[in-house]
Amino acid sequence: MFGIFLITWREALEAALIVGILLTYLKKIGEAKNFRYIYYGVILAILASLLFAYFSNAVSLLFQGSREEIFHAAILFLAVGVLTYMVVWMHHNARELKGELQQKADEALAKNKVWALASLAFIGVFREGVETVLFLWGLLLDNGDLVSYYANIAGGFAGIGLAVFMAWLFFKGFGHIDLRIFFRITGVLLLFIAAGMLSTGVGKLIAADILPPIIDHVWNTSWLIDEHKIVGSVLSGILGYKARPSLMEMLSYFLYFPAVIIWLKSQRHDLAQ
Amino acid sequence: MPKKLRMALSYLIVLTLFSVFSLYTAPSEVLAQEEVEIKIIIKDGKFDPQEIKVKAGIKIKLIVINSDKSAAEFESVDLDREKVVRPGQSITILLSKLDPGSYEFFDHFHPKTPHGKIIVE
Repeated sequence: MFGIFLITWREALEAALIVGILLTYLKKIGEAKNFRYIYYGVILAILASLLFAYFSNAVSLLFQGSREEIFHAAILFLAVGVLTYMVVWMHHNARELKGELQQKADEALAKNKVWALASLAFIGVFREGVETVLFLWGLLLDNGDLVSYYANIAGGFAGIGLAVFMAWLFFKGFGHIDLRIFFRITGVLLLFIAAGMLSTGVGKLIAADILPPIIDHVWNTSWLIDEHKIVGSVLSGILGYKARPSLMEMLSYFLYFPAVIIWLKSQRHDLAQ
Repeated sequence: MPKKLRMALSYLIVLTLFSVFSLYTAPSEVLAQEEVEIKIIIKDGKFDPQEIKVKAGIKIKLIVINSDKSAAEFESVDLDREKVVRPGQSITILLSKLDPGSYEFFDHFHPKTPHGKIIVE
């Protein structure tokens, strides 16, 4: 039961952070009335995850061989792309908003921008939702003894509940600080989440025998922080921690940061011109 | 073209070259290896066989068949693999270049059922 709790908590925390950033941003620019578009994205993503789970028995028959790993890698890379876009967009906005916050708030937020925010919420939640729902679905199929059955389901939902509550506390605490600082903190957080997703996706492609691991295990820190226990699970969810990374996963993780920074800098340069 | 953009582009080119290089080196190594297919059946919450012996350096195609009525998740911390096996369905796990040693696996949905292991020698 605790294992289930840990899994749903970790997945939901990532999704809740992404949604929280979007909501806080809208609130800060005085667009709280557009909250509902974010919620549309979230609800649609939950429905899409449930639909996916409902058809997953049929879907898994299509996933022969390594197709499942390739599918997961594709979703992960899509999420990395979306998160990176979000960070670049936040960075750009934080610079623009310097001193002209009120003026900007007076203008109505363009409709297409609102839909862009809604789709960010959708992808953020869908990616975690598929993983969580598939896992819970596997448990629902179980007809073992009823006590552990209900305990598992209760654990799963408790995990999601705690994650949403923690994200709410986080934004309650950090939501009042200056938008630029807020964007900086959450931007860094998102970069770590994205780098973790990138290396997880690369790991899936290694499992599918598409990418070579180069070196199987560069180090082993499972004696210090085990990613299957509580602390390691949090670190793995937010920072992308892995106790025994392959060289390929490490490279993708550590090369992601300079790549984004160079992109941000080149954009700043273009704007200055 | 701005200098920073050039930097970003050259960075991307290096990354691409690197990935192309890795893709090119991967298949030749695979071809040189022997390949073996092993079937594991989950029945009444137990793995059959529970212990598998293979030679080091061989590429393994592990097929896990779930003949029980409940879903299982084949998981191995040692092998860094986890995959759900639906009732009546099967999954494939590819393993290559395993070093000699013992690799434990278990059903994450039923962690109390007996664990199995792959012994590479």
